[in-house]
Amino acid sequence: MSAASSAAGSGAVLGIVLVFLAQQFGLIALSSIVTSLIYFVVAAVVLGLAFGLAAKRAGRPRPAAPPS
Amino acid sequence: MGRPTDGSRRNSLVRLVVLGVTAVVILAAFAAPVLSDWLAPTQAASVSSSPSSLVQRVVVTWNGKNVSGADAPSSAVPISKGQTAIVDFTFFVGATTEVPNVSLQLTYLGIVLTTSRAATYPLLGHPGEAGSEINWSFGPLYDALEGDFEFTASLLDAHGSPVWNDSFYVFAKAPYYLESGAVIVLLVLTIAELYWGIGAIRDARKAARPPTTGAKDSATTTPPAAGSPAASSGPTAGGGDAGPPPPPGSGGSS
Repeated sequence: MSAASSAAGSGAVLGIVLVFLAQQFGLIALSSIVTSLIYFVVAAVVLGLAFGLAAKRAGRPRPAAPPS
Repeated sequence: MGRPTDGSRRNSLVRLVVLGVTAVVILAAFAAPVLSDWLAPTQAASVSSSPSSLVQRVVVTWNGKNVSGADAPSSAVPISKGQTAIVDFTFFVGATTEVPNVSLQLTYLGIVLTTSRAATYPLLGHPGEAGSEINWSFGPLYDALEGDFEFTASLLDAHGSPVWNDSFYVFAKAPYYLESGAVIVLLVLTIAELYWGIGAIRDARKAARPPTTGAKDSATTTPPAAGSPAASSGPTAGGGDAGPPPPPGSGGSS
């Protein structure tokens, strides 16, 4: 499993967890299943993409440093 | 020396940004209910919900507070740990309408939990006026849950169909917003996922770092000074394979 996909997975789970936390802290109400699914999917996709892209960008090979 | 410094600076910047965003999200989560309680205007106690044509003057109160103003999560009526809410229904029905039951529904993730009670006629000796009372609590679930929950108060006809209903929000509040099983589990999960996610990003950064240039650096160190023993000891100078130089005059032809 590459670092990017592992980070994306972590971001997706974090998104779902943060939606539950927002409900627990009274920011949103997860009453309707459709609205709840929209919250979960959007949060998981956004945070998964953010973490995955960050890891992909961090993993891009860099040119060797010139001798000083 | 420039590249590692830039890299570590960027690392700590990314870490700071992630920590900052997390702190803002958690602070906002803590502050929003407090702020909304603080900023919300006090609700009028005698505003009735919008009734249908069959029933009129419907008033539903949650622990004495009218629920008609609690139509958004930010203006939810509160319930504290261990508290039983008294949900009071008062309504006026015409001669042709029958409302034998009232109900209270909790909806969470599409799952509906319903509590029903019979309505009482007439109420306090007023003809046509009826009412009912439901004592509602989260029960043992309260230790695990807090947050905003949507409730629907309904007046039901003889067939169980709603004649009137109104949705409102209830905020089940744990002490300090933290003393709840779900909140603790979710906070631990958040920290763990942040740790794993940031760890994966750091691993990717480490893997992408170019190999250290130690060998090249030693090869390009300052040349030895002229006349020093190292200067004359090249790979071929005075090597054992070369042998001694031939004596003069020994290599001629006769």
